[in-house]
Amino acid sequence: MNTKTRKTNISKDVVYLASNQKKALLTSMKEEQANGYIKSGTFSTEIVWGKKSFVFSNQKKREAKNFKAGMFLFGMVRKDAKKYVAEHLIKLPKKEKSIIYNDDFRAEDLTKKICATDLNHAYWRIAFNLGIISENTYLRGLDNRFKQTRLAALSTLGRRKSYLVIKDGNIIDDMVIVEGDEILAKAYLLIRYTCYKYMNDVKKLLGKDFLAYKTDCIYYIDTESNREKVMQYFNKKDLLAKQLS
Amino acid sequence: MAKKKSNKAKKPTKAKKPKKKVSKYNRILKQFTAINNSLPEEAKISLRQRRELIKSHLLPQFDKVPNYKLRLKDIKAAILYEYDQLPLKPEEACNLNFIDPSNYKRPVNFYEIDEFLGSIMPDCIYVKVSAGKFGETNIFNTRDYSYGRKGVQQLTEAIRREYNKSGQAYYIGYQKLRPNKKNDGQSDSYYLDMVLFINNNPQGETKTTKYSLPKTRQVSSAKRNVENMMEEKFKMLKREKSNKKRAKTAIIKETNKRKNAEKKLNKNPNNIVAQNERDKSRVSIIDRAERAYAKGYITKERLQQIYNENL
Repeated sequence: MNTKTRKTNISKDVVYLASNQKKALLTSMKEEQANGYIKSGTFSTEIVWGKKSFVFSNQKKREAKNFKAGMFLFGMVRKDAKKYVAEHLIKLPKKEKSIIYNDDFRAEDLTKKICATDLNHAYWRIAFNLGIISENTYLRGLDNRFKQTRLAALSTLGRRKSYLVIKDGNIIDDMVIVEGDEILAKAYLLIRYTCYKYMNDVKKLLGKDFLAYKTDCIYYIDTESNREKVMQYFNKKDLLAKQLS
Repeated sequence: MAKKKSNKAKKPTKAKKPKKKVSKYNRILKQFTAINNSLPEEAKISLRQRRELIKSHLLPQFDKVPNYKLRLKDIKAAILYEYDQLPLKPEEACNLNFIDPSNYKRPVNFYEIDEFLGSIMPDCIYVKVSAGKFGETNIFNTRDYSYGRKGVQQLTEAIRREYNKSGQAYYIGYQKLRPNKKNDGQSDSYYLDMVLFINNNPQGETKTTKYSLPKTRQVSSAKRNVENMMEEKFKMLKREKSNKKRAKTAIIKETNKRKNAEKKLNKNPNNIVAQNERDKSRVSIIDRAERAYAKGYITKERLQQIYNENL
């Protein structure tokens, strides 16, 4: 596989099409023996042909509708984040794993009752607490409909894009990588690493009673004192959490 | 020798009809059309544009000249002057061979065909819409395109009755040769056939005829120019669409404000704050609606409806 890196963006004027029209477009490209690029993501597939970027949603109709309704968040987040990185020097916390299991956990402990504490809109709240997004952006993104959009808006900050090459209408193995904005990407890393750091801190607080954590949800032996410890820590960090039995 | 008398009865002589006076407007229009037809595709202008130019520029110019004194020479000179004032379009902009297929050989939703023909494609190419069992239009020039008169609206409405799901019915454009024309690369030799697809099945002929252009610098530069022109048009359309959407949303938001105020007033008719809010919203709605109507974002009916609700 050949990989080329370029600094300028490939995407041009965007045309939104229905997902069932993707095949028709690729057939047309084949007939015309056209050259272009294709990128498949969680939310959408993008095909670049000539000066146009054709975007097909990969989501279900309702999800796509909600996602589209929250598109304004992308601009707001990017604007806030740019302002943040211009004013702050980002120092990343120590990188912790996003998922950790307690390997020392004994089989007999599994007979005890287990509970979990889950952070509410963890990345969004941390971004707000760190000052990466403004209060206005934070409040506007809180609507449940925008869950996926707000996550996408944060995760695409400065991210590089990888496209597969379409040559003479056929998708080939070559790849083109469009460089992203490293400093903005660092802002997103800061959010993620801060979240894992918090989880790791709670893990240490719980000691032997800790079972596992997965990104923003921590599992442990259910005791009154454990629950209190976890909730106190999250409250101290100004995070919102819900207790799962 | 005496002349034989013919047996034929003399035809009664018809009373001569008085010659209809040709108006100044029609004389100018006739000349305008004749000159327009003699011009190359890229320089031609639509009938609507010709009429507008006559009304706004030419008639006022000859206002003080009586019709019998108006000379053809003067009319022609004035018309040619008008052509000189129009922005020059590159010759290649009207030639399908120079337009990148990514602009037309892609799915165009059936309900977006009007926008596609009227605003995205250049206003000087020949087009036909083929919708299989729903019918087809004649080949016409986008210069004279009109949604209702060219039969496109009829097709769209017929398709809408049967296929209403997103992405089910769409058009794809195919470059074809016009009847009695040669594949010579000239702009008026080709037309764009917008073929309807239903569930990915074409409802018309998808065979295309293309002229292979020489691979020279001039050709690629011309192609780039056309592409830039199309890009600009597309951007303008997008801007216009978002302005339209914004104008409509603003009216809806303001209407909601008024409704909320009215609800409060229903509970307590003496609520002065709510009264002020309602009155302020009414003024704002009418103001916004009038501005939106002036820019063509809302219809006359919608404006009337807004007047009825708020006056």
